[in-house]
Amino acid sequence: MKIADTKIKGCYEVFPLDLRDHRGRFVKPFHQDDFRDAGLELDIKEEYYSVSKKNVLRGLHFQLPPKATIKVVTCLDGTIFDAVVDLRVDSPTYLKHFTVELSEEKGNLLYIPEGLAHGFYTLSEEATVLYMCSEVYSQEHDTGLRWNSAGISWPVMDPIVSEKDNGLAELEQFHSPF
Amino acid sequence: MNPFELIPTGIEGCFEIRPRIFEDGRGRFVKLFHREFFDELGLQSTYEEEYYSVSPARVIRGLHFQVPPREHVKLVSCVQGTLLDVVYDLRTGSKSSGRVFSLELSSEKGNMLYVPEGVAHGFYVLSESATFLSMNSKKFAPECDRGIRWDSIPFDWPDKEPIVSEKDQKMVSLDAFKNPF
Repeated sequence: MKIADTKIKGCYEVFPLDLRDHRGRFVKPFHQDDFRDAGLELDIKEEYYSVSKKNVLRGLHFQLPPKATIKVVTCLDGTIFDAVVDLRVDSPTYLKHFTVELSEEKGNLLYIPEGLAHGFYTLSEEATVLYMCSEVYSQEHDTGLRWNSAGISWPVMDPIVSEKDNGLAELEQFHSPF
Repeated sequence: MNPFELIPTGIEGCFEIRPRIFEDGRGRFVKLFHREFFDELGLQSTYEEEYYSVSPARVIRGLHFQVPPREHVKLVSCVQGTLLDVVYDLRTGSKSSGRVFSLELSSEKGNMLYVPEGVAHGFYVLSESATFLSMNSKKFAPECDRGIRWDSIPFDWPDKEPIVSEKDQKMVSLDAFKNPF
């Protein structure tokens, strides 16, 4: 496993063990000791995946304290344009964003600490995205920011977005509790 | 209400799990694991390791397990494609000792198999390609990693000449295996 810094403090791109032979591939996106040795905390309390059509944008999502969650995301099928925004007031990268392509081919992961908003746009015909989370879903803490309010240069400006996501608050109206 | 439906398999402690799936115009959303709901159902709720494999049609991977003290629970699913999942109960004291269970896991159904400790696991790829995901309660431990040959259990595989790794093909047969369970 290798990890690379991103321009957001505490957020890393991770390249897990990825073995290939005539039967296909074997990829290990999570190994508690390897994560710990690399300084990445993760006790998985919830895990889910989404399957999205091309042009679908999901986000920007996060949970408020005390249910803030670390998320580790990876793309198991297809390719996505992944984005995070730093909402931590004391962070040197407060309000900055970072984007990276996650793909099945690369097998890369993004480690997203608490206090970041996360979203993605589907580049391939379809994409399966896996999320490993350190906290379980909590309806009353689950919230988000409007996808086009954080200065992110998305690949398109007219993606398919759910009504719920389109109704999220804009970044400038948001009072960060992080 | 607990969103995970547990279906007995005939193997003691082994269940098919059907999660609640949400679908809308954007696609689908499938929850594989939730610690509190798993605790409520008496299922393993801590997982130290996770991996996935991508395999073409006709591949068999298995039959794998870890022996004590690193025996583990596996929560397995198929997130792309369809596979035939197969388990064999190695536990001598189990009511289902020596029994085989198989079922189709598919991304379409979103179903999972909860494989307890002491049960050997393998699968055969039915679709053109399949992505198999496994959450494991204990990490890989080379000194405890074991297997038995896929064709040595009483199971009628759908393929007599599947694609198998050299390592898997050379595993001991069930008869020759010194069973610690």
